[in-house]
Amino acid sequence: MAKLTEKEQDHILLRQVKNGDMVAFSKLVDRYKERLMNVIFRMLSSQQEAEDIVQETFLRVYQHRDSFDFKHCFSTWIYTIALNLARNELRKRKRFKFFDITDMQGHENEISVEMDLPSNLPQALDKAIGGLPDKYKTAFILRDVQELPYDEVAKIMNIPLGTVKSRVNRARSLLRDKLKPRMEENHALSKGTLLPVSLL
Amino acid sequence: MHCQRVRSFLSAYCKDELSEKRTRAIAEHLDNCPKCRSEEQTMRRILGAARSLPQPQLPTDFNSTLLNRVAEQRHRETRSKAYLPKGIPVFTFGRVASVVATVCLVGAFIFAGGIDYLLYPDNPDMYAVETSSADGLDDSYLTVLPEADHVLTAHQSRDWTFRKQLDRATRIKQLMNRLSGETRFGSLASGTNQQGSLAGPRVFIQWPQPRTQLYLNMTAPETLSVRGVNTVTN
Repeated sequence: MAKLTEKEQDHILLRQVKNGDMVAFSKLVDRYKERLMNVIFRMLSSQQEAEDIVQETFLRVYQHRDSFDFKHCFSTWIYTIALNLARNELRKRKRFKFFDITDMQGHENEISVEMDLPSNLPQALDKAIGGLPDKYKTAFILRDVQELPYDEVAKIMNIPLGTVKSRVNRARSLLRDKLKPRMEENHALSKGTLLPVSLL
Repeated sequence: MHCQRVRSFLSAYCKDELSEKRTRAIAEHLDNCPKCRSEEQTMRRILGAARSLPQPQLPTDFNSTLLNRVAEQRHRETRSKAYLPKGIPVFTFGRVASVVATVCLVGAFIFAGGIDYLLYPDNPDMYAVETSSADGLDDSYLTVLPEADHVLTAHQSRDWTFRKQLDRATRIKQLMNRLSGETRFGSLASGTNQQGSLAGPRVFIQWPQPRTQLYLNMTAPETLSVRGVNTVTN
């Protein structure tokens, strides 16, 4: 028997959910919760808010399970819901700007991350992604972190395929420009800090 | 290919997203250009790091919290849909409240004469006047439309409910101003005398300050003629 694709597995689970099977719903949650958390956390940079958005996303999926069109991909649907909720959250933040003590902690982290470059490249990259404009950030996360195909990213973001490609390319260039000086500096430092033979 | 053009394609080259022809051209350039090769290595490291970013952790009770919320949702759905066959809309409190509120607002609008106001926006030729009930005229309020110099046509006020909200004294004053010219008033009086009709219900406008009474005769069901004006001085 041929192995089912991700899309087919999702559709089978969702049909079971529509028939009231909560075990199937739990399986769907397990399949997507970490992927969604990965995207939403990077968009909002807040653990608590990201958790709330992911919860709300699954709740919406359950509420609107009957309106899902099986011609489409479940993953596209769930990512779209999650991103719309995250965008609403970002809009709310722009309206009400709060002073948060975690901002100060963030600055401390920024300095320490910069000092760690590039030996701790994933963390430095994580920080640099956080500084990207929202439209580039979303495109980069979906394409290069989640490794979704371009056409799916285009559907999720509801923009043309060419626009996705240019945004991803722009995001990569911005990240390279941001990280490269630090990477070179650290490379030079590692060369210059070789221990003298006498100390070995 | 120039270095600048090669670098614009480097990230796509690292991810194998380019056509075969372009991939070959870039590979050839990279073999001969150490600077672009260094750029390529930087880009490969960044894109590699993107696949191994620190993963945010979800709390251990994430699923149980979510399933509890879903259970609440299911409970609400079952309770509201109980005994109803599929396809019949469920009337929640919110929906019913919004319908009731809309009906109340529309009713209040109609009751206050809003439709008449929309159909007959503020028309300066329409004046509501009081009539004497002592002469057996059932209509309490009339609207007088001056049609000719000496004859006024009246019809029952359609928009009284709204008009009464307006300043009555101002409207009567406007009517009096229209009749205030000496010549005009005389012709009105003579017109009435020529007809010689004193029959029919008598109508008067009372203007409290100064106390002025405008007497009119109703010569036909919808026609009023001016009989005289009486000013009372204290």
